[in-house]
Amino acid sequence: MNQTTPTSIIVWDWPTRLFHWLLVAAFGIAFATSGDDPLLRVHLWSGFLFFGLIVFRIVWGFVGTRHARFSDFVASPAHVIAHLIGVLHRRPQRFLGHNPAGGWAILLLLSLGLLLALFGFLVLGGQEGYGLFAGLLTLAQGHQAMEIHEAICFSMLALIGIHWAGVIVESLLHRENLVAAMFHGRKRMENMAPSPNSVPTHAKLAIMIALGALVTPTVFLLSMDSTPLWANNPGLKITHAWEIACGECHLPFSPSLLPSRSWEALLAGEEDHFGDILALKPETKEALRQSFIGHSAEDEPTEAAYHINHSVQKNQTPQRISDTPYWRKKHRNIDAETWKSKDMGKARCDGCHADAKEGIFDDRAITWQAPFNAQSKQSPENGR
Amino acid sequence: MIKQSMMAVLFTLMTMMTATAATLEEQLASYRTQGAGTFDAKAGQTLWTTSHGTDPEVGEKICTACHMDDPHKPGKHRKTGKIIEPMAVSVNPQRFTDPEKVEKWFLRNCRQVMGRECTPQEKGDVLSYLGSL
Repeated sequence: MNQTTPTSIIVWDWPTRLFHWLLVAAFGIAFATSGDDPLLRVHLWSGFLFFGLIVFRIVWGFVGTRHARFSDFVASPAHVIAHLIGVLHRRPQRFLGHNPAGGWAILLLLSLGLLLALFGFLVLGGQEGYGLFAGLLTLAQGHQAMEIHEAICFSMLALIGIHWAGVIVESLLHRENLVAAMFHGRKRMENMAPSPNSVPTHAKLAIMIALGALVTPTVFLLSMDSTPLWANNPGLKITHAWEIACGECHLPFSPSLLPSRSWEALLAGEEDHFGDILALKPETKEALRQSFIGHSAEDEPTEAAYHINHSVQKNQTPQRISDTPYWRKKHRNIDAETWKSKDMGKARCDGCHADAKEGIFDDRAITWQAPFNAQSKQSPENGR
Repeated sequence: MIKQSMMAVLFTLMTMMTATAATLEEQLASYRTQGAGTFDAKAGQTLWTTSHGTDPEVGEKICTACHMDDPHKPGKHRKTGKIIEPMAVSVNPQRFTDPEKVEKWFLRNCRQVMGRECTPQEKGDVLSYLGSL
């Protein structure tokens, strides 16, 4: 027997540590890019990685090294209560792995993470019309799924707060830097019974790497390499009359971008069409009416149509697409300078939306990205 | 063989050119049947460059406000910024080949700029001017 027993041992195996910090990064990136349409791609990439990591960690919880296993750290409620009472008396029992309260936090975080990713997939299918679950939910259900996705996210944030509190309290009470331990994996031995070596076997690692290499890229490919459900919808195709009457002065906006009562109002007001006289012939008017009836915001199954229609109050009849609340919300970060720039303008959707004329408005077709300081640049103007 | 195909290309080109010219001629002829007399490119130019005051919302009411001073160059819609192809037939042979389009825009733009529809005489003069450039 060696005289000098080691003062510290590896508690967190390196796959667990790598998982932890990658998960932090994936969650952080996904959180920072949520609700930003041009950055939806990044949100999805980080979300898929997040999902792959959670799947890895759950499997690793059964086959990983000692302290990575659920059986090591998921304790009975009685133990949790006993431990928390110990914390209150500032004399908590010390554990090499997770303490009973921390163990439950991990289990809950993983469960919420799995739910978060699952609802993310549902939102993608329901709201954007592509991905693994495309066609499973309606746009309305997709919207509900997004609200649940957000609620799960904020629950997770709260739990992360508790997780941090636990880490800080335990670090202070046991005078041990637990954040550092998640980097180097080592914790003090003290009078703990030495645990089996926390170095994973090659066979297990090979299986896990294969799993990781499969999950994330597969999900990624199945999700990203697809067009929205409505991309080939014949109802979105504009008529020749529409193309000629509207398209000779501006982009022939898709009829799906305003409710039919708005188009009716525009026809009725054609003698003063934002300052221009349209002088439409009766037969042209009728052809235009036939072009939007059944293809307006209340009819077409696109994300843009759904949200525009639901953002406009039923007793209101906006005559500009850019007057609808949904349009405004989506373009709030674009400053006046950008609008004035060469290829853009509120009448030129296709300056940024490559699929504007087709009425699709897929987030992946947005060719412009707001500079990071756009919001701060805009606020003084709003204040004026 | 080569000579034959070259002749064919030349012949096609010539037919295309005469077809365009014929359409403009046809357009003018139809204005004559509506009561217009001899067309004067000079009068057309005067009409094209006469200001009819200023609209507080859209600006000066004159053809060249959107079509620009040089008909050989493209114009621009004042609000939407949409490019308007050149009006001079010499640089844009597609001009005035579609009678429906010609009438649509005369109707709209005469009312917009002059506050009334143009007479067949005025339309013929303008087409003669833009066709002579």
